[in-house]
Amino acid sequence: MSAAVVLSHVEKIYKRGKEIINVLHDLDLEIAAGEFLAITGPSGSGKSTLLNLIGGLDRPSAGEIRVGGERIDHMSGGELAHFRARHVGFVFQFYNLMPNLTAARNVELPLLLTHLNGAERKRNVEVALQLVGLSDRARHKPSELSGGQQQRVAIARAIIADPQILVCDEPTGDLDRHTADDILGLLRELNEKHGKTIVMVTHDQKAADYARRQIHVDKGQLAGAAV
Amino acid sequence: MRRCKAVKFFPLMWAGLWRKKGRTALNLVSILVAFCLFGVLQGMSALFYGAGSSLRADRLVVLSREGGFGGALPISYLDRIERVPHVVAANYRSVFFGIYQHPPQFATGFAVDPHRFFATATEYVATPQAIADLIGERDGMLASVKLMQKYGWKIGDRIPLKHPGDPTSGDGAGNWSFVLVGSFDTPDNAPGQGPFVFNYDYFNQGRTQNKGTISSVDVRVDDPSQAAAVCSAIDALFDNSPAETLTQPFSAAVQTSLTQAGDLDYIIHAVLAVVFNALLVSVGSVMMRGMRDRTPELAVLKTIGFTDRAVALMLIAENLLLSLVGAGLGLGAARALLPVVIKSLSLNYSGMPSVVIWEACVLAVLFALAVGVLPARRAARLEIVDAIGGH
Repeated sequence: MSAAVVLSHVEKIYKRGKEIINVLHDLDLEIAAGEFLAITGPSGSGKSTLLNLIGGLDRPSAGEIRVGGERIDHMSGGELAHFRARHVGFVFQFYNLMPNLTAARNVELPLLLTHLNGAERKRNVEVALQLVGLSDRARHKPSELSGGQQQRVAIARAIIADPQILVCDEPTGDLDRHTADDILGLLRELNEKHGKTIVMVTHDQKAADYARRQIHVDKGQLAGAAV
Repeated sequence: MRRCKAVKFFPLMWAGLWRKKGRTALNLVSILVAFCLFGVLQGMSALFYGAGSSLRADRLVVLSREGGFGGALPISYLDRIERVPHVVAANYRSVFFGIYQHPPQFATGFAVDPHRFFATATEYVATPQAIADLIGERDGMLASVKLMQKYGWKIGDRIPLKHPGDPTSGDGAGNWSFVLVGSFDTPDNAPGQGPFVFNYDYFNQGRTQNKGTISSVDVRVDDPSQAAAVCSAIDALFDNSPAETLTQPFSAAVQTSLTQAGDLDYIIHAVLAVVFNALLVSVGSVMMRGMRDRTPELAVLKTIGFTDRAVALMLIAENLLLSLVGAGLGLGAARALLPVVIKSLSLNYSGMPSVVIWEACVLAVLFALAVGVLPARRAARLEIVDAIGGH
């Protein structure tokens, strides 16, 4: 299986005043296409930073990152924005939906950056909402939806532009166990049936168990692989 | 490849604009009020000053360099002015500020030679019969139709007017009496209620101050391109005399007079400057607060692929939308209010001048840029990983 993501000797350093914080150091990681990977680790271990680097939200201080064969560590801000629009879907812990847009309008957002016309966008939105089981909630605003439904809308938004990779940061961190299982089941379905590569950061071991591979990050380094 | 159309971003911008309904409504009302004020004041100014600009380019006016319209020139100047090359007609007038019954019922009159006056001041139109009637009645007057309507005067009425400018004139106590013998028409866009005219000889005999003088000489030239040369030639005639003259195109003189009278333009611009500065500060600070509140949402837009530039442009477009909608509503309100204000000032309303609408559009765009650039710049510089919530 070919590699969807390759990180080689990646370092990430933050400066806070005179203090230098080495968040990730000399990290190597390869994620195969179609893989469902869970990244676990304690708070401050660098797992979210790692996820941000994979998703092209941040740039490494050193090292090389390739996603879908493209080297993204040297890309400019604009190039990274275009890269994210084409290749990566994001799911956040707190859903991060636009509060005054309907579910359908929220899902449509990534398609505004494509050349699809209104009818095509509408059709795609319907398909995405159907896939996450929310066709009947298209006209509802986020405040009219439960947490689980909001996260489903966020997943529909993440997959609408058909990205190769889904980057999920604590996608069930704000949900009860039952709803969390539903969301994780949906992610596994997207991975198994639709071939999406999923990289998920989580504190929750039960959530991590849904992934096909788990890695543990501690003090900015991979602590080892399990399963 | 099909072109990306900006219109598809409209629902996103509109939703962003109304994210906090109360705040946006307040901003909209502030902008509406400011542009309403702008429309009324600028409209007033344009109509006020526009009245003078409608006068013909071949008309000049000779005034006292020292006193302007309120000054005095010897009536003997008339003959010398008539002999200046390119002058085809000349006429004089003395201004009479009268009070009808009691203040503030004012009536402005011109003491004239009727034949000369109506031949030169062609914006006033009287029938030959009316002119003849005025000449035949020593204490007669012709009033503008608007003035007659204002005070309910009818032909044949005896009109008493007090002339406070010369308190011992007329009957010795500043009281004058005229017989209304006819009327004349004034231009549709002329400011105010229009004047009345009466015989100079009657005025000159009854007054106790400035006898034998006139307020101004109206001149008509045969070639408007020679107007500047004629002005210089006339003023040169009276250089170093006790009553030096200032000759200029009539429209310029009217506008100078209006400006001197109330410094209207300065007041209008000062008021508008204060209003728009206050608006800039209040709306600008609300916009900045709004941008801070929306930081996680803007970060999400960047996360899903909106570039820094696209996010900044979207915020500016939101401001532009708000500003143009507010300006449009404000101008609409001004359009409804302006006729009322103009009529209360006894001016004629001829519609909201198009220049005011264009000025308002430009101002709305500049305003949107002024209040939008800073939040847009901050949004463009937003680091996604710092800005996105939930971490």
